[in-house]
Amino acid sequence: MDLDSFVVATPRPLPVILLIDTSGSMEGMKIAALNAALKEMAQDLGGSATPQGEIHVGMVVFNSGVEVTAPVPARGLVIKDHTAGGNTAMGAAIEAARKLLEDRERIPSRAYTPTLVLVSDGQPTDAADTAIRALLSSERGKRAARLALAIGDDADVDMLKRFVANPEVPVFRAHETAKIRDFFRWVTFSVQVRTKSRDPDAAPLPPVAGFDADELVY
Amino acid sequence: MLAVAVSVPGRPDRVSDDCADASPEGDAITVADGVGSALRGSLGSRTAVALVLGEVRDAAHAGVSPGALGELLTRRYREVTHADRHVATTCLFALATDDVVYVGQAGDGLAGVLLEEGWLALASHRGEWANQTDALPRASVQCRAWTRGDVRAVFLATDGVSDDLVPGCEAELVRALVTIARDGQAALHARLHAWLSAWPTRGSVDDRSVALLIPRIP
Repeated sequence: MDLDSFVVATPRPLPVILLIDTSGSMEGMKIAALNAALKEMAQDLGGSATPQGEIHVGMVVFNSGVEVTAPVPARGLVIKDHTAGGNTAMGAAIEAARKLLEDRERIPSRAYTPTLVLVSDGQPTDAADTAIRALLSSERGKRAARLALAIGDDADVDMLKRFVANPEVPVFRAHETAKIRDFFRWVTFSVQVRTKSRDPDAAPLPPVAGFDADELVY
Repeated sequence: MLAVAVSVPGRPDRVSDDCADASPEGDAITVADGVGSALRGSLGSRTAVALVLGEVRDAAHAGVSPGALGELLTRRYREVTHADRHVATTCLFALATDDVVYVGQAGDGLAGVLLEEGWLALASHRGEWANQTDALPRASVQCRAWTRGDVRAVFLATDGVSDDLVPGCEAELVRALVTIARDGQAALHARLHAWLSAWPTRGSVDDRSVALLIPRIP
């Protein structure tokens, strides 16, 4: 009897779920910068040496509706160009992310703690508060690491703070498109740090570089 | 009666946080996964294992209830470690007396019995994510007892093993181990050691411990 047949051979997944606002207000430079940053992130995560697990990336793209892509290995991940248009269904996106987290077929219990990354430039046009409460009261959602980027002056920073719900983790503010890239580089680095840590779930977030104090909202 | 416990470090160059042992009489097995810094984690797991094979085993032979056995382990662990939350560990154990087999679990990992009708895990829940560990001194000990004649085998595993097992494979795995045990304790020990040392999950660096108790070799 081969005892190895009782063991899963694939590495433990380390899921990263991106909640991306592609509403109409993202049109122009912002959506272009976002597309470029996402592609760079996918390339960097896919090329990362991951001794402790395998980075998986999932997407929840939202505007008037929500498009969900379940986490897949970052190696070989292709990010398509998103176009901007429609409203900001942030609540529906957060609810979709919660359901994805609770789906044990798609994210098994052997996975390391997932990271949720919410990026938005506007005010939610649906019941985002209700969705955040549901996320934070779910067994898996409340344990997930949560990060957020507010793009521009119209972003609902308070809502993003409620999503992060951690006084030690800031909401990042991007007043210029270059900061979108900087934010995703920092997220990429934080994920890479985790995969190299002895215990990926206990690894602290790396120091924030490239953002001024007024661009970090605690 | 046969009892075997095997533990291997996830990385040969690091101190293992795990500890596993079996009584020479073959009536007791235990595995523990220390939590926190390496030295304190190691201290916690060794402390729990020593308590199980000493005072807790004595109490089992004196015929105390399963609940009292769990309370004894919790109380004595807290006394010995001065309830220092940094000296934390999971602890899983099985103790066979002439009449009953006790199985106990504090924190994550896998503990269960193979009965005539199949596998029964002590706890239905292995934690929401890998490496999220509930542990002594805070965790409570779940403990149950079965009539000795009903128990074909008890299997214990720390989460370095249990997180990577194919879901639902436990009964078949334990039956395979019971078959190997017909070749004797040394053969079973060697097979388990080889299995844990060349763990098939890519990227796994967790310490790995298992133990098996068979009241009657078939």
